[in-house]
Amino acid sequence: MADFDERLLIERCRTGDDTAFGELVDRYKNLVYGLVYRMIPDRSRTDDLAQDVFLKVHRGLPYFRGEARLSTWIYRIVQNVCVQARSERRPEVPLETDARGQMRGDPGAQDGAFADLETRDRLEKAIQQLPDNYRLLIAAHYLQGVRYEDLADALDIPLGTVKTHLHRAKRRLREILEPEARPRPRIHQPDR
Amino acid sequence: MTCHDVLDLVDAIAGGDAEVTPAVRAHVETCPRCAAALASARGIELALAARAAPAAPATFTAAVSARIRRERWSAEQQVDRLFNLAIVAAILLVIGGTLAVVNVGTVINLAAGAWSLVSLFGAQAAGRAETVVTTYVAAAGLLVSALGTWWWAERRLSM
Repeated sequence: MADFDERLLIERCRTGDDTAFGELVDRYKNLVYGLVYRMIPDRSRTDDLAQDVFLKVHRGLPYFRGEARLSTWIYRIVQNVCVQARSERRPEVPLETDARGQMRGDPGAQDGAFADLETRDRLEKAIQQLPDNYRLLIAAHYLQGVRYEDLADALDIPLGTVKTHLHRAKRRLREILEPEARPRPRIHQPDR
Repeated sequence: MTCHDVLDLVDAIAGGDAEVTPAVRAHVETCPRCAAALASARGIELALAARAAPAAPATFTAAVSARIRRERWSAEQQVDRLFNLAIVAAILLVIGGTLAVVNVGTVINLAAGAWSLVSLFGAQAAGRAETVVTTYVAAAGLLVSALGTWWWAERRLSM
């Protein structure tokens, strides 16, 4: 959305124009809904949490100074709402591990096997173990149409930092999913 | 190129942010561990891209608006309750104050009346008793008008 449009929309919302707020919700609802679902993959809670985000936006609009973009502010609210929701209800089932703390399943299953449901479930659980900022990045980056530039803009961080954090997040995911992928001491790394 | 260098790159390669250079390719072809890591990173990339991201339901905006209205109504109810409490407090204050004034007057008047009787000034005592009755009537009128205002305000707010 053009900055001018956005400012105008915010001003209209501030004057108590309910139609304008409806437009704002319409513009951001799919982004917020998708993000919330990916941060807290529990369909029964997505509706309420996504609505909570917009209630906070509505309450906060009179104090929104416009120094950051509206989307940046909304991303932050999504993150806060999801972090709070997670702290209220921790996942009941931890990542499946055996007695040594390693993931169960075929240790060699590293590629095509990701298609199956069980692996997706493991992936979701692994994502839940990531730090909040990594989770938000992973959730947002793979939403259709969200580019690195959009994320950098929305999260107010440099483009390079977005990429670096995403790579680290995915590496961390690999390490969680496959403990053997954890870094070994460098003395065991032969030159090839 | 070492395993460490390649493992640092596999996630970027899988995400399409880095190219598979000839050196990386040569290493991966001869190193099962790095080949597995690259395959795993590509698998994770595919799985992440395939994660569900449901669109908001068609009724979402209406549901948000309804919650905002409920919240606003609840805030108004709160103000309403505070207003009612303030009215009750004011009425109690008026009643209490009136009673206090009336009682002080009554005590003084009774004392004065007794003194008057004792002093055989009957006429003067009667005059004082008349003042007390006037005060009671005025207090009752004040109370009735306050209750009437409250009742009227309640009716207006509930319409």
